[in-house]
Amino acid sequence: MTDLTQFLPDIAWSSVAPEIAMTVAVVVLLLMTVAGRRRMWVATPMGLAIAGVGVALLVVESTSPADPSLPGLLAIVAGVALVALTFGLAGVPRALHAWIAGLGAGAALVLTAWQIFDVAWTGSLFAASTTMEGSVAMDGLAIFTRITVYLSTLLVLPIGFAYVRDRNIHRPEFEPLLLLSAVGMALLGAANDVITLFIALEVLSIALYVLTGSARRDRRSQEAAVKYFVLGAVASAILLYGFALSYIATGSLELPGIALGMADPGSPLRLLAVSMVLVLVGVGFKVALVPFQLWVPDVYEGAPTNVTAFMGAATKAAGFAAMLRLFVVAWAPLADLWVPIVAVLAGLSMAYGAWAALVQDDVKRLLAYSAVAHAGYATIGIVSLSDAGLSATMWYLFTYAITSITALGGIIAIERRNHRAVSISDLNGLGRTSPALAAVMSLALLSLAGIPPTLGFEGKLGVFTAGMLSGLTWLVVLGVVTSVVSAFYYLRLMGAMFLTDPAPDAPVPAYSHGWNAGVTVAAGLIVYLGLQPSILLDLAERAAVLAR
Amino acid sequence: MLADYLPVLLLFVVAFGFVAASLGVSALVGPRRPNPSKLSAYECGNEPLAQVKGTRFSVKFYLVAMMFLIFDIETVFVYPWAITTADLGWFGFGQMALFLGLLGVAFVYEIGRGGLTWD
Amino acid sequence: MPIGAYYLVAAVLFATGLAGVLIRRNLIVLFMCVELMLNAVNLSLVAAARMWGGPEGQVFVFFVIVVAAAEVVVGLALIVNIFFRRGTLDVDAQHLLRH
Repeated sequence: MTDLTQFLPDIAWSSVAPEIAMTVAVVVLLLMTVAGRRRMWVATPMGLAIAGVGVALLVVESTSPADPSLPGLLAIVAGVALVALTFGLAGVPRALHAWIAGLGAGAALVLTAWQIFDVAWTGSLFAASTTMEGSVAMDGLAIFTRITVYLSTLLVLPIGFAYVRDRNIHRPEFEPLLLLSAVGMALLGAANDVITLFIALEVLSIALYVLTGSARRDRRSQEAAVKYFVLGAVASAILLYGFALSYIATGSLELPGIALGMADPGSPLRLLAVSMVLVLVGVGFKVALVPFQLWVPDVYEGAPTNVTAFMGAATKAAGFAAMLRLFVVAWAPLADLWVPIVAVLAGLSMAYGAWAALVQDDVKRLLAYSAVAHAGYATIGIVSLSDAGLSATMWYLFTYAITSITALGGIIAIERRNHRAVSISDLNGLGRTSPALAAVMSLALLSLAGIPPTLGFEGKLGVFTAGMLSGLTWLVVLGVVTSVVSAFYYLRLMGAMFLTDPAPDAPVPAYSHGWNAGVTVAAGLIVYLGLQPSILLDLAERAAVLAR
Repeated sequence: MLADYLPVLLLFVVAFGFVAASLGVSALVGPRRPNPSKLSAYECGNEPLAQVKGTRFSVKFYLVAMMFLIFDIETVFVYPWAITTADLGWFGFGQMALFLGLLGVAFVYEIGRGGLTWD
Repeated sequence: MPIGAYYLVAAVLFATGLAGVLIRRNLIVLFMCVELMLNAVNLSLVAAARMWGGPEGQVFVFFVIVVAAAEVVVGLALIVNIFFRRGTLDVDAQHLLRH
């Protein structure tokens, strides 16, 4: 027998601490669902166990009484909060589940902040290292993806809470699936070998297929789910074959190892080129670049709107994180080959998205095409192939996530009591009947159009600057032109809201405490970070160091 | 070695050859004079009572089959651990316990939500 | 047998699956084609693992198998649900979302 202990991996659990918090929340939610009325019997021991782990962490990890271990403190608070919530909300299980899910996402966000500020576990966070035998990266891209994904989760949970109740599509699986999908997205941003990347991608995708079809009595939702599933499964298989070919060519499944193998002059270039194209098809599908955008309008339209908001915001961030890592790290030696192709795809996406959105009447479809255009803008940062481009893409995806959640949040309010899709004429006169909602939606639309001083402007400014610095003038010019075109249809929506009279049968928007809170925070972020972007922008700039 | 499998290959060749030859020869030389009574279902069974297409059988079969598939496939991770368990020691045990624990949660959930209840 | 033969078979399998996805219209058949593609990947991976002499390729195959099973389950559930709603599995019958 060989001694295998020397091969045991060194696992830095702190590098995936936010994901662990989310997974614990999923386990709690599943067990509480099973327990039903006897949920106290689950919540109390689980809460005590979590708090107990916290105490243990506090004792073991704290360096001094003045500098206690933050995860330990957090676990104690979370454990106590779990028990308190279960007592306090015993009569309203749905609210209880949403709160527990929010607790998990909140804990994940706090742990991400801890990863940023407590550099004890790597020496320096932005030094970019890996753990678990090179499978999981601990670097800025992983952290920044976590911020976007967990913040999106935390915003979507309250915004959609009353919506799923009124549309009668809530099932106890909803929150666990949402959290699992977020875990997959966060891991996708941190995956440093293709196995981890594939698993993360599938965790997020499979959960999203189910979420898309969660309105089981709605044919649109069902068909959107089947369409998304079939195309998604094919895209995954193509991506996987790309990985298999690169493994054949380079003998490595780790992204830096693939790059090393490619840099070898004896490597089979044609095989690598084919694998690059296959991988591009696979990730292009996930981030919805033209010509792999076919599923986007139908899935955006068919999915429950809160799922659309989550999918549009967080999946994009995660998919682009994977694309960044794959192309900037693994396929870096073939940059001469893929940069022109990806740049053309970016240009096509911007142009097609802007053009197709012009003629849409359904607001969700319009936003879907605009999502395709935004995928194009975010790609400019990738083809810039510079640190500036890298941070610009991450920052752009953050701005887009917050903005699109706000815009779709507005749709959620209008659609909630009104069981049909929202068309542009449904927005007529909204500025007079519900001025606050119209103001919030206008803010989101201005931000999507990239008009200063909103968050969206800061995002576009970043990618365009990075593109100019890398000499991609034609792409940036195209980006500016399509931005102007897209401003036209965003303004068309605003025109409907403010310049036309309300129709007598116009849908009446409905609000809830959760919606108010979530949308206020999101709109506040658009304004505040639009004026003061430096807080997160600095972080994005420092985060532009990838683990290799 | 591959040569060890030669008898198996020969067996396959002979078996397929025999089937192909007998089917082919009977199709070529056999007389074929169909008449209504020969073609009726009586010669080889009863008239079917219902069309096969459209017969519904319980959707619960799908559910159980799917559950089985998931839990069956997950054991693929247990085999490699099982043969190296002595070498991997407590580390491997801890990891496998974590994995099986999560799987157990899924199992409890499945039962609790009535995934295996037959009525 | 030369290792290239395995890669060739895998490539043919993958191409068959992809062609099937593009041509066939029945959801179950589409599904089978995706499985064919995944198994082509598995074949390439084990062959490559043999060629490079490392275990990573085989480990990857385990994960692909498990994920494929999870995909099958979710996909079949969606398909069964839509079949009971509509009574057909033809993709082109999904006209509701085509504008």
